[in-house]
Formats: sequence, structure tokens, C-alpha cells
Amino acid sequence: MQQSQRNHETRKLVIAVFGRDRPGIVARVSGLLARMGCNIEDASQTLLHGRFAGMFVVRSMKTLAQDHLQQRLEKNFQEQELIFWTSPVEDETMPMASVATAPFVITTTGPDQVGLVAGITEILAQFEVNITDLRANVKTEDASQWVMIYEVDVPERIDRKQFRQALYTRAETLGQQLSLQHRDIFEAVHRV
Amino acid sequence: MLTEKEVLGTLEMLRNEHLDVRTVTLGISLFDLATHDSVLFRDRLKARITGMASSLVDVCNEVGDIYGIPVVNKRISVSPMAVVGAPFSSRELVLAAMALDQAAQAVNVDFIGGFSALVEKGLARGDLSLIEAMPEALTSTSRLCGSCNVATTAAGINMDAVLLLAKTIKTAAALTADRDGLACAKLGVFANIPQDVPFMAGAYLGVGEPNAVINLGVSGPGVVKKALQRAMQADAHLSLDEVSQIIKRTAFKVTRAGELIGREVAKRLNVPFGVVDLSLAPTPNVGDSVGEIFQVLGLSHIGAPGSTAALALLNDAVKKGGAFASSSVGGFSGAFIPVSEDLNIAEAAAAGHLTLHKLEALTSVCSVGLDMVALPGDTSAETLAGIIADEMAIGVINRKTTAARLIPVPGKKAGDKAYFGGLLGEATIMPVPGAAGSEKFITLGGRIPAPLQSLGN
Repeated sequence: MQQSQRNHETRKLVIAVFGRDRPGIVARVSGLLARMGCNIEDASQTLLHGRFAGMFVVRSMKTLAQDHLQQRLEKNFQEQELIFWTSPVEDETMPMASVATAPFVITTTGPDQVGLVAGITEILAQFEVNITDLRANVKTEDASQWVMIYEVDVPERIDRKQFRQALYTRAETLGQQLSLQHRDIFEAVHRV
Repeated sequence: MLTEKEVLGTLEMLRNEHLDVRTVTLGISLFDLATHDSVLFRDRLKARITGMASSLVDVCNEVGDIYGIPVVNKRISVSPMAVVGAPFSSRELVLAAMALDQAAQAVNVDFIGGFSALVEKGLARGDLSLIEAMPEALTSTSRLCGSCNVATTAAGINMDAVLLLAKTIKTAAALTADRDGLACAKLGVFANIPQDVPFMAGAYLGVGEPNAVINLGVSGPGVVKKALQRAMQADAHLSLDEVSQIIKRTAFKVTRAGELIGREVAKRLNVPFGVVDLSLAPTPNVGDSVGEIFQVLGLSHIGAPGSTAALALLNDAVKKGGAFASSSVGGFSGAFIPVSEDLNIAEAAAAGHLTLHKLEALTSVCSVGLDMVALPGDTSAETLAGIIADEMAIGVINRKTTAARLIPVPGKKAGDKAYFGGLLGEATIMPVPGAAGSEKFITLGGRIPAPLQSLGN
């Protein structure tokens, strides 16, 4: 099964790149993709503690063997210790797209501890709330206070009061101050 | 993706700077309820208000929860009762006032405003009945507020009405002598009253307004103060033009938060959204005070020389920031300096730093006027009328709203304390310098003509 997927011939792929950050990673990856006739349709990258993670959605002019692409990438970046992961995009529709959701922002403030993220995200998973962005270790003036920001999509169909209550209760057991607010308030207040 | 600053900045405003929506006020038109049958009128009043406002409090709480910004007060404003109830006697209008109060209690709003008359050019029959009814109406109800507009830039000052209102205030104080004249705290005398004010005691729904409308009053003195403190900590040599810029930015944020909530409440109630009132409205809590802003700006207290200039700067910057944030700005839109409702201002008055004269000067550059000012109980109606007339003149000449909410506290003298409770707070009674010297002028009566400023066409 694994093998048949990797030999997949496709025109659209997601490529993920991980490794130690340094100047030139995106330039070399995108250069190689260009030489192979692949157009980058979407891209995102992030850095965490000096590590690079990037994702590229590419479309090829001609049918592309996933295997072949993976090998070319690995061969080209051998000396840089980059890890590549590729996946064909067959179904253009997103799995969550059919569920009506509202964007909310959850923040927790309090002392850091083991199980903080697990504790909060367990509730999110129970209510089928999807995380779209997550940041921990947000710097504040008070170093003892650990702030985490979750941007989430809350399904319209769930009981929002129950969800809110479940989050508050969990935050209390974790010694955290939690807020759950519709995303629009942050944009309204801060953006022109 | 939001930035960390956007998320944390908003949280900070909520958790430590008293950011809230001070009031969401549902305006309800009553004009189509007019009848000569006072029993039927009262039934209609109650049915209309309880029908239209039944879910107001729940919706405000729900929307407040979603955005994480509490709506502190939920209120109702109605068409001016002197017009809607014009056929009725003062006794019947007192009963109508009670019906309004009962309806307000039924839907659990804090206040209902609109026991009001507009008499800047003359007193019609309904106006006279309403003003006569005011003392008893405001004594026998707990949530009703009344107002009377006695002057406009276009019409001048109706001095007969000024004296009549001064006498009405004295009667209202006497009827609530056991509560330090509390009825007077629910009565404002205005020049150039706006039709869409969400704040009490001046809220009423004007004749140019729709059937129903949501008007919203922001708060934010705490947010402005903290923003200035932070900037001054970062830069000890902050100049006043930079101060203005910080206040503008802060007013922008506060207004945007308010408008978002107001529009969502309006949408859920299926009524149009009216205006955001940009006023900085304090409460009797530490950290939620307009007076404290003066101290952050380097004045020892509100009332010290420089206070009027500081207030002019503050008021102007709030308006500029708010006007950029919203295209639906209305109501008073300025900084409030209500003496008893602002802990810091009340303390400055108690210490003698803030006098009645300085307070009057301050009102020439801000909204709203001599607000929640406790005066000695033996202040005569003519002296009260003189104070009101001066305040009206400031509004008329400067084409702005001014008001007087004066409480001559029965049996108490300058330096004593008056207690009104809750948001109305408490205040030390201010002396009235030169009292008893106004009688002859005031009793001349008539109308002070409209100034040249009115001839703008």
C-alpha cells in the first residue's frame, strides 16, 4: 500500500521540508522545483528554535512520479540534512470545508507545566474544534506567566456554552486563566 | 493569523484596563401609541416595551460572551413622553412613568430614559404636565430617567423653562430627602440635546429616529490612562502631540470594539444600528476614572491650573480617534466629568481642588456639563436656575451639548457627603460661591435670543 502510494503519478503534490534553518533553503528548493517544471501554488514556512519547517503545494506541467521527485529532493540536499515528505493531492476539497464553523481565539495564561497543551487540546478534540494556528511561549512582561494562543474553528453545530464551560473547567484544573473570544474582536480593535 | 501583539493587547485592555461596553441602549418609538385614553396608553406602553425589549438583556450578554467584552448596562430610550403623552394631566403622566418603570423591570434593563420634554422655544401643554409630573415620577420609580432641553443654538435659552426646571429640581430633592435627593440624579437639564444619546439621564429617542434602533456607549477611561502610563514609562519626555496621538489610537480601538458589539446586537434583535457614542464614561472604581488621566498627564489633580487645556486635548483626541474608527458616531461623544460617578473627581472636589467655577470652565471644552454635582440643600431655585443658565449659555454659544444634573441635597451643607449608591456614586457637597445674587436677573424671564452662531444658512 505504502509503495503504491509513493509510486503515484500525479500533477499536484504537497512537499514538506524540515531541517536546521539557514539562508537559502527556500531558494534552492524552489529553484529545483522550477527546473523540474513545477509551479508553486501555495507555500508556508515557520521557524522554531532555529529549525525550519516549510510546506509547498506544487503543480507540475506534466505528470510527475512522486518517487522521482522525492529522490531528486533528497539527492540535492544530502549535505544539508534536510528531511522531505511528499504527498499527492487528489481530492481538492478540504476535509473540514463542509462543516460550518466560526473562528475563535483561545488564550491561556499561567505557569508552564507538563500536559498543558494536552489538557486544553483534549477538550478541543472532544468538541471537534480544529486548531488553525497554535503558539506557545509567547513573550510577556511577566516571565512566570506562560501564554499560549490557539486560533481555532468552532463548529456551528456544537453547544457553545458547554464548550466554553468545558474549557473553563479544564483551565481551572490546570491553574490557567483562559479566554475564548471570537476572532473578529482582535481584528476590529487592531486593524484599520 | 493574528499577531501576538494583537491578541495580548486586546486581552490586556480587557483584564487590566476596564475595557467594556458601558451601555447598549435600545431606542423604541412610541409615537404610534398616542391616545387620549390613559389606561389604554399605559397598556400599550408596557406591551410595546416588553415586546420589543424582551430579549435585549440576553442578547447583550450572549454577544458580550462571544467577543469577551462585557456589556455593563442594558437600557431603553423612548420617544419624549411630553409629546407622546401630550393630552394627559400630570397625574396621568406619573402613572405612565410607573408603567415605563414596570416595563423596564419586566425586561430587566438598568434604566429607561425618555420622560422628557423639549421646550427651548416654549412650553406646550404636554411639556407643562410632564415637568409638573417629574418630581413624583422620578421619586416613585427606580429605573426611570427624565430630561428637559431648555436651550439650543438655533432657539436660544428659554429662561422661563430654566427657572421652572430649577424649581422642579428643588421639589424632586425634597420628595427624596431621605435618599439625599436621589430623584435629581435621574434628571438632566440640557442645551442642544442629541436625539440618539445612549447614556442616562439624557437618553431619549428623538422624532427623527426610526421605530427601533440600537445606540451604544463605549467606556474606556481606564484604557486611555494605561496607554498613556505605558508610553510615559517608555519615554519620560513624551510631548503633548504624542500624547494626543496615543489617545487617538486608544479611542480608535475602544470605538471599534464597541461598534462590533453594537452591530451584532442590532443584527440579532433585527433592528437597525444607530450610533456609537464616543464618550469616555467613568465609574466609581479605581482605574476607571477620567480624573486619573489628568494625573497621568502630570497635573496634581483635576482642577489644577492646566486642567481645562488637558481636558480640551483629551476630548479632541477621543473624538478624532473615534471618528476615524466609525462612520456612525453620535450622542454626546466627549469625555464625561460626572463628579460623584468618578472616584478621582469626587476626591478632588472633596479636597477643595475642584470648585464649581472650575468645573463650569471645564465643561466649555467637553461633554456634558455640570454632571452629578451635589450642592447645599438650601441652594435656592433662583441660584440653581443661574447655574443652569450659565451652563446652557456655554452650550448655546459653542454649538455643543451641555447639561446640568444638580442635586441640592436636603438638609446638608457644603462639605457634607451625599450618597446615591451604585453607578451614581457619592460626592462631597460643593459650595456655591456668590449664591443668592441671581434672583433679580433670573426672574426677568423670557428668552435669551439665539446667538449669531445660529444664522449659518
